[in-house]
Amino acid sequence: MKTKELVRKYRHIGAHRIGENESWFADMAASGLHLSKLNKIYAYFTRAEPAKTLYRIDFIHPNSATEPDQEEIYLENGWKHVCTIKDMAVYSSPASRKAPEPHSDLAEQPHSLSGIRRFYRNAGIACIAYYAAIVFLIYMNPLPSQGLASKLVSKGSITLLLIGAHLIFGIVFAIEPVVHLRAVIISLGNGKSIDHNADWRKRERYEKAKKGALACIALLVVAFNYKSSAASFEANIPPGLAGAMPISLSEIEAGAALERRTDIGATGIDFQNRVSQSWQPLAPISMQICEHIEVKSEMPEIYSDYDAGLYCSIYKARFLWLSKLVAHELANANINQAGFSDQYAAGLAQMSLDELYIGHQAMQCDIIARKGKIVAILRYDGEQNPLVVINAAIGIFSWEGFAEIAR
Amino acid sequence: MTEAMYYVLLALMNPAHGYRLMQEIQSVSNGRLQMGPGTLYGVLARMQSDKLIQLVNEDGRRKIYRITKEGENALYLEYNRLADMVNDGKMMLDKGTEK
Repeated sequence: MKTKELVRKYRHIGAHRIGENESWFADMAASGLHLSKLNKIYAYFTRAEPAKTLYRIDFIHPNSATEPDQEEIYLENGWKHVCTIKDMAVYSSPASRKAPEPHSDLAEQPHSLSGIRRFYRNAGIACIAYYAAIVFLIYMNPLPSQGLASKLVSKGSITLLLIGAHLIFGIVFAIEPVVHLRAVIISLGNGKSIDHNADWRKRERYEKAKKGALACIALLVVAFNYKSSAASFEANIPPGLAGAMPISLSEIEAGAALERRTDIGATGIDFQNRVSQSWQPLAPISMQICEHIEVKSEMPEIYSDYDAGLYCSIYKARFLWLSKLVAHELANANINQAGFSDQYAAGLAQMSLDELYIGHQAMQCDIIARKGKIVAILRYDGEQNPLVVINAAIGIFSWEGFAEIAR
Repeated sequence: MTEAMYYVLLALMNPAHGYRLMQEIQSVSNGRLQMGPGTLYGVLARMQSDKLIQLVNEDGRRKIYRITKEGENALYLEYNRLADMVNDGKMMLDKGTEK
């Protein structure tokens, strides 16, 4: 006995696109592939003689197979039951038979779509709740700086970009079926029937483009992560090497007797004195420097020894506008002494910086400086005059090591 | 109440199965209304959940439905509303013709 050949085709078009699915099945039948069964991913066709066949999709009985009673009535009206998947039943009829439309009353048809509409609405709500939870987690995530622009240039920005793209696509995909079904229901209410000859090829192209975009995002993430891991490093600060670092405590505390405070972990990294660099898609340079030393007083009988600390982040943004945004965000988040920088404003031009924000209180000086695409934020804990710290910060921008890192 | 619901309730004054209903509706409406199976089963499912009709028994593979008391009340309400509308229309249109 000759078995019928079954051809499997991927279902690009979602169940909510009723007209596109019907016209797809009809075109397949015209080319000799007659719909046989459906699952969530594939449609199976039986190869036979090409025939002009009409297909109609119905959603009358949610969550159950088509009842024999209903199948019989459809059959008596010229519509043969082909298959059912979940609450979607497919019927076919030879075009030559000119069977009456199953839905003769368009005002009634929206009720038959309430099940699928509810399904997509609940799925949409679940997706949006899921994405809202992700957004919440991002903002709960303790990244090193505040604000979106600052996060985009900091370590973890790849994840942030991925989630951002994922969010946009996810929300569009989640609401599209609900919006489409709403439009269909309004259209039916206005007496316009479902377009049984809708252009399924156009829809398929759109779906392919959608999946292609998601694949591109995934590829970009892989490429970014590869590049990031290859161009990132973490190391202990080399002691006593002038010019090895964009800024160092020894420059600020020049002349004093220094003793490094160390806290070396199992990986050999000194947590108190380390430098790390991570490549990010929007910031090829994203550098963090942390240094702690004990400053020995030259006159211990008058002045006591003290601990000095330096925390510095340097970003070279991909775009000038981004570096400006980062500088403003960091200034808003870290500089709380408004007007302090006024006394230095006159000297700003000579300092050759584009922006400079200074906050100063006892034993602490915060500086945010920007020159072109490079932004530096540093916090100095110690007794030196802020002007000394500013001079050290200015030195960051002339450091020659950036070119090497960027390579 | 939609036209399809009205005619299904009318036809169910005598218990019937789906196919019989379709024939009855076509007959009552003098062939004006040919109800498709999709529309019929949509209406039956909805009216059953609204308790306007109920399943009596299954005659072989076929389910037999009948109208409930609530269904009858709804049908009479709709009938009276439609009759009022026809009377109102008749009165206004007759006046228009007299002028």
